[in-house]
Parts: sequence; structure tokens; C-alpha cells
Amino acid sequence: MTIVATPAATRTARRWLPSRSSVLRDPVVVVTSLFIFLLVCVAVFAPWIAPHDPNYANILAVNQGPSAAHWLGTDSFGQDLASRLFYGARLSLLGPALIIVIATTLGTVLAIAAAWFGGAFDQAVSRVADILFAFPGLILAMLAVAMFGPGLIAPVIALSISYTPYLMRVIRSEAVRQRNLPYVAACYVEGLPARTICRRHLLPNVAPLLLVQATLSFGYALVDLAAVSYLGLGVQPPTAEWGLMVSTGQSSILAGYPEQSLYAGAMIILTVVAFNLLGDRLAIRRGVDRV
Amino acid sequence: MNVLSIDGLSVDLPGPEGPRRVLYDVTLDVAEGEAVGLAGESGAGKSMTARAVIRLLPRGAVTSGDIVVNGASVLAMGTVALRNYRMRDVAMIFQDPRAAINPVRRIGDFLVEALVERGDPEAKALEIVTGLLESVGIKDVSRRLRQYPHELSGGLLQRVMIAAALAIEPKLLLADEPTTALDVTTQSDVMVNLDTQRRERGLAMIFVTHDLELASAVCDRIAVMYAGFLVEDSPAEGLHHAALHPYTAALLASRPSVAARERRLVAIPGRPLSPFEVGEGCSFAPRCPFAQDRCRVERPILRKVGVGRVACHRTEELQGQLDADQMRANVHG
Repeated sequence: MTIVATPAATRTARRWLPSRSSVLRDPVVVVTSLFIFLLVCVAVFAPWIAPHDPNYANILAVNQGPSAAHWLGTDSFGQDLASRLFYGARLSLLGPALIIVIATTLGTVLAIAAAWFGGAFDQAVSRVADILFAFPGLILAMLAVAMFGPGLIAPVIALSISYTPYLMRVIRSEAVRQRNLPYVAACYVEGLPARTICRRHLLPNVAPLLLVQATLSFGYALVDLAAVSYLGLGVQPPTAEWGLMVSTGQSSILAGYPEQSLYAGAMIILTVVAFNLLGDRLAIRRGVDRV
Repeated sequence: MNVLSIDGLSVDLPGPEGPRRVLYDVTLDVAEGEAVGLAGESGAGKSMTARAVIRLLPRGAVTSGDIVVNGASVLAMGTVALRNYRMRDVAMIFQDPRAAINPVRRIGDFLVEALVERGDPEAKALEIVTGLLESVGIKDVSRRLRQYPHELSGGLLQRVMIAAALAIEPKLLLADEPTTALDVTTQSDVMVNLDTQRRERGLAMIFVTHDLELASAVCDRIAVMYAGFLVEDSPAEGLHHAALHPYTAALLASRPSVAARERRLVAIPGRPLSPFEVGEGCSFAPRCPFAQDRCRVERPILRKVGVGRVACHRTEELQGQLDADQMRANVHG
């Protein structure tokens, strides 16, 4: 709804992001955002920037050190490590992104509905969330893999389900608080329908918390998904994926070539740390409690 | 013709030990263009009465009696009728504008939203809103419309709130302590503005306040509430010397006076009862200096006395003693 003449872009950005000037002056936010942006670029443009086909195994060049041809060397199959890391970024970021999109969407809708209707509906949703809490995400993911076979989809769906109650609960508590504020009563008094109040008034007010929680959860989801891959339940070799690379590189460690596991592990750690730091900073900036 | 008539309104709220009564049999009429002040201590049921009129009661509240606005019974309305009623007939001004305006939406969006929802085109809504902001004394309107609530002062925000209330051209205005959250200097500005706008438009108003002085200045009649009861309903003019209920007189006497130098302010002994603590007698009897045995066992009903209405057994006998200045003098004497 554009009523007052301001560019649509600034309106949206202003509404969803913490106040811009202050956030962009925070070095941690700048560095982590740049890093994440760079990662996303690498993932998107992997085919163009990777020097080799990630799955091409050159049997004559196994376990090489860094060189001009192989920036980070090769693994025990003679595959180019840099290319595999670049391509690996695709699945390693896509998986958690899917989980977060599904879990935040479901979680937010359920949370706002629970806050709005309250009573029996709220009780029902919250108790089901409690029950889901009892299932560790990894075990749910293994169960899904056992049923639907390994790959990306089964663990993503399983982890989405296990992340939903977590996000739901945090957002619900804020939505309940917001719902009882006088401005919502003022909306009633204006005669606005419930749908409009939820969408135009409640949602933007829980959005900062949503952003923080989604950012923090992204890191956790990435670790969980990497763990699933490491256990051999996610995408299968020779697909390039960081968690899988840690696992396949394991056998070379004793042979004196820890590079593959090391690089992939380092990427996982760096990415998770970046997301967590960013989430933390946004939380501090926004004055919302980290949960 | 009455814009609003509340007839025998009782409200029970759910409590840990079963329902608790917070309003007892409140009966009050507001005529067209008339302003009625609802005064009393905190918890007396003033806000609850105003909120009942717009059906903004806490979850689980049980109401009985009837509220009729423009011939339609508010308590019987379904969802759609209720929304239409809130959208067209009645508007509310809240105590704290900072809490009652969504902090993440621009002032312009806030003001226009209700009008657009009602079916006005955006351009027309914007025009109405601009005119209204000017009439409530806001300068530089186009800039204000683009600002967020945190960029405006409390006084300005309350004017925005008043403009929002006037925008739907209601017949009845519910003002729930509209100046309590403002500092004293802006209070008078905002109040004068609200009063002017109301008179110009001939709006009926219920004005909830702690401030009897302010209420007498802007209202035609004053209804005094105590512990969930409406104890007195009198013309604002002359209330100071012609209170009908001992509680009203005591309230008036306990205001600090500019004229007299007092070492201690006059206070009503005891503490205000919560509505659910009220026994079978008059709710004010435990604190009333004029209470007799009858007051403690028989609950007085609201009845017409002269130009007003009062719920007191002894009001006729006490005439002459209920003068605020005299009560003050008695205490200090």
C-alpha cells in the first residue's frame, strides 16, 4: 500500500531491516554480510569461476599441493579441491536456505495464528510444538532418509519440520506480546478485519525478530545438514558438498593429506560463524533477545 | 435523541476463583452533541464502561444489560455488523498515543488505513486526512505524513490520534484519558483542540478522566464512578457546590486548592475498593463520613434527584453538607 509518495524500494527496505545507518556502521555486520554475499556469489557463479569440472578425476594428479593449475591442490581421486569447494557452496547453502524458508514461513503463520486466536488453538499448536521438540532434528532426518532414500529433499523436509516449532515458539511469544498492545486494539476500533491486522500490523512488528531468528537458525541448519551429509545420508558422492567432503577426505587424513576435510570443514565453520555473528549483531542492534 | 444509551450494563471478568464483577448495573445516556465526563479513581470502571461501548473488553468478559448506539444494540452485533459499527459510528482516542499507533507504519499509512478499508479511494482519503491534520493544528502536514511515530512528540501524536478518530466522522467519540500520558503544557493544547473539534462537529463524547476540574471544563455532564458503580450523574456546572453523592463531594474536597495554603491535602480515609470486594450495602459506605446502618446493608439504587441522578440514601438530608469548600474546612478546622 503506497499512500505517501516515497520510492517503494526504500519503504520495503526500511520496514524489514533494522535502521540502516546504524547497522552499516557496525564493522561486524559489514564484514559478515560481505562474506555471506561473497559465498552466495561463489555458489551462483560456480560454473564460471571454478577452474575445473568438480567431478573430473585426474588419476595422474592425486593428492597434489597448491599450484597454478590447482589452486588448493587435489584430493585422493585427483579432483580439483577449489572447484569442489565452489560447487559445494551451492548445495551447502541451498539446503539450509530451503530449510529456513520453509520453517520460517510455516512457523510465522502458525505463530501469528496462535497468538491471534489464542485459547484452544494456541494450546494445540504449542503442545504439538512441544512434542516435536522431543525429536532431535538429526534423528528425524535419519528417519526421513530411511523412508525416502538419501538425497537433499528428505533431510531438508525433515529438518524443516524440526526447525518449525523452534521458530514458531520464539515468534509466537513476540506476537502474543504485540497482539496485546494498544495499537492492535486501535486497529479493532478502526474496524479492520483480522486478516489485515495480522498482515499489515503484526507481521511487520515481529519481522525484526524473525530476521534475527532466521539468520541464527541458518547457521544451525547448515551444521545439521552437513552432519547428515557427513553420515552419508544426504547427497551422495561424487556430488560436491562440504559435509560430504569432510567425510570423504577423512581416509586421506591418515595418509598425510588432510586438505580436503580441512578446507571443507573450515568453510562450514566460517559460514556458520558468519551467520551467527550477523544474527547476534542484528539482535543487539534491534534490542531483541537472542533465544 | 440519544446517541448512546447504556442500560443496566454489568460486566464480569474471569478470575482465578470464578467470575468477578467489575461493573454493576451502569445506566447512562449520552444525547446528540453532548459530552459526558466519566470520573473516578483507578479501577472504578470508567475505562471498562467506555471499552464496553466499543466492545473492546478482555477475553472471556461476560456482559449483561444493553448498549444501544443509534438504535442498534452493540452487544448483540455479529462480526460484520460490529466492524461496520466500529468503522462508521464510533471512534476511540486512547490514553497513550505512542502505544496505540503501530510504530513501524508511517503516520500517513496509519491515518489513511481506516478510510481505505471503508472504501474511500486513496487520493480522497489522503485529502481528508491532510485537512484534518491541519484542523487539529499540525503544521507541515506533508512531512508529518511521511514520518514514523517515533519522530513525533507525544502531543503531536495525540493530535494525530484525534485526527484519526475524527476521520471516520463518527457520531460518538470515546476519549479514554486522552491527555494523561502527555506533559502538562501539551495537555491543555491538546484538550482545547479536542474540545473545539468536538463542538464544531457536534459530536457526542464520553470523556474518561481522573481530573474532575478538566472534566467540568469540557463536559456538559459528569458521571462519577466508584468501585464499579455509577454513583452520581450531574450537570458539570455547579458540581463543586452541589454534589449529590458524598464520594463526589469528598473527591472535590481532596483536590489541592490554589487559594488556600494547606499543610496537608485532604484525603478520603481508607482505600478504594475493588468492584468485586463490594458487600451488600453501598459501595462507598466503609469510607463515607455520613454512612449509617442502612447504608451498610441496603444498596442504594441510582435515582433522579433534581437535575441529576445519584445512588445515595441520604442525599436529601445531606444537602448543604456536601459543599467541597465546607468539607475541606471541616477537616482542617
